[in-house]
Amino acid sequence: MDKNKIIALLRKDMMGEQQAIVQYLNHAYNMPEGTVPAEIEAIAREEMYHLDWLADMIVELGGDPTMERDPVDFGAAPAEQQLLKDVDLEQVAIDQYRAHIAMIDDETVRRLLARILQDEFVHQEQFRDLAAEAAAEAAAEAAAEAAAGGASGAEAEDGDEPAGKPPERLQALLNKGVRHEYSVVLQYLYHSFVAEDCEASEELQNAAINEMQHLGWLAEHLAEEGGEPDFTHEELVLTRDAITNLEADVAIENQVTQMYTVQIPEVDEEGLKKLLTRIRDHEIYHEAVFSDLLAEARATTASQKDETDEPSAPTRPSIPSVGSLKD
Amino acid sequence: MSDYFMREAAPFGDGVWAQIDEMVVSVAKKNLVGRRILSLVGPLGWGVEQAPMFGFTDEGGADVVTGEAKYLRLAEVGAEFIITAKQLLMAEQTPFGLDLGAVATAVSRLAREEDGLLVGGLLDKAETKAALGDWDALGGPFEAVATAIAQMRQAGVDGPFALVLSPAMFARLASLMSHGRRELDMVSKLVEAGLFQSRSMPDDQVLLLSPQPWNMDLVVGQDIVTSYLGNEGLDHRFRVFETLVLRVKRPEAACVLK
Repeated sequence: MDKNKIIALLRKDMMGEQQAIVQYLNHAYNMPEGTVPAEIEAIAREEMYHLDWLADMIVELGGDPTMERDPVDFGAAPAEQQLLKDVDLEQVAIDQYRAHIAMIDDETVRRLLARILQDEFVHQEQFRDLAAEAAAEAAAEAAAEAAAGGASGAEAEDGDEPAGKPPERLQALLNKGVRHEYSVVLQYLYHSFVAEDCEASEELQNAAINEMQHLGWLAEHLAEEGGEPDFTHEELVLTRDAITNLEADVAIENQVTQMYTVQIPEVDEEGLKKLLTRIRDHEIYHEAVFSDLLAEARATTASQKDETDEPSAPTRPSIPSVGSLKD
Repeated sequence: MSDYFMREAAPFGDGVWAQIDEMVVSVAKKNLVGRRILSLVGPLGWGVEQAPMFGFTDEGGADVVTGEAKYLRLAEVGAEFIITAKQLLMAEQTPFGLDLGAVATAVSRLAREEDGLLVGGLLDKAETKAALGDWDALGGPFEAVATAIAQMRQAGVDGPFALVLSPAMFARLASLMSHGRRELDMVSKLVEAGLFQSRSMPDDQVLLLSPQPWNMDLVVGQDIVTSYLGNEGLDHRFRVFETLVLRVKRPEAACVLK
């Protein structure tokens, strides 16, 4: 099979993996803390490994990884129904991987897809079990309420009291962070996929993982307040040039540091203040790391080029001058 | 080239001049702060007495350079020093060499005057104002500078930004530390064009600049040079001087935090 066709199929798989990651995380964030969301997040983490493996394979084949995703169902529903949607999504993945394995004749790629497919079978089973568990819990709660004679008439979701909406300002503030964090996860992951320098690739991936943590913290906080995390990304800088990418990464860290700095005093709740401060301090660290990588990349590029001397300033008479001291 | 600085009239040759000139340049480079921040136009020569400054207007999206220029007069700043005949003789006849302490002191004075002119000019012309905040509390300087930067960006002034503060303010900033986190490092990250100490800054203010050449620069006519003024008995008098002017083209690109 033509290499470009293989790359196209793998890009499709990447879009599916990202769809799964976002859908599962959204479901997890909207559930109260417990073993169920923790298990969903563990599944999402395995999908992230799939995303990474697929991207590496695409780059190895000479292609460009994609940071686009298939559409995600963000509709609210009781836990059991959400988990059944996840079962269905795993089935979509299973069918797709089976089809791609049948079409692709490259043994290395087939082996990778088969490895991923193994996981998807397990995930589907896990989601089925979790859905059954959620159904049993809901039934037990309904029975308990009926026994207590305190049926409210309104269906409880996941045993939670229905949360009110957070203030619009708070929702906007937190979602600004969610959108940013989601954007930089994608941007840094892409940059790490295409970086030729191993150190840079690793640092970018570490930063992406940290940003995923930020995303999780903000999304969970928002969901606890009754809000909806907004998983749309802003414009991404996705090039193959290391210097352009790192310049964009430094710039965005700088911008977001200022954004969080401005947000911190606007927030009343002490816990959220601390969270935003913690995130802000991480972003300062990222900027420092990216700045170092950028300096190294520039130095490497400069040493690879032939340096042409700039025409010297007109020669002064023998008296030396001080001139400019600016770097 | 004619010897307008009367250097050939001095009672010594090129070797001693080379030592003096080297000391002048070395001390100037160590002491001058303004030239590390602002772009320099020139040196254009002692004969240049004025520098044009063009304003511009924004006419519905197109920035237009106006035909009218304002002309700024270059100022001369200088300091004098004396080298005695005995010092010159000692340099010739003993291994101790020429004592250039007076040269260094005069150049330091000149550097302070240059920076005073530049910093004073920037403080005077700065149109953007912001709150200084609490510089004795961890996080205070960072917030103040970040907020001022946000204010300037909002007004259409972009970075990179530079921060100028007095040695006392710098000491306050440098002393803020907790759990290995230095406030100085945090603030330095915000100001990519650098953080500078200047004795010409007052202790209760901080200057935030966007020192790009389209916002502000320094025009130098005659760069720092030592001239011979002649002898007074056995004392030889010299003047180290320069001519320069500060151009603040966009006053909103300078912000005083107070």
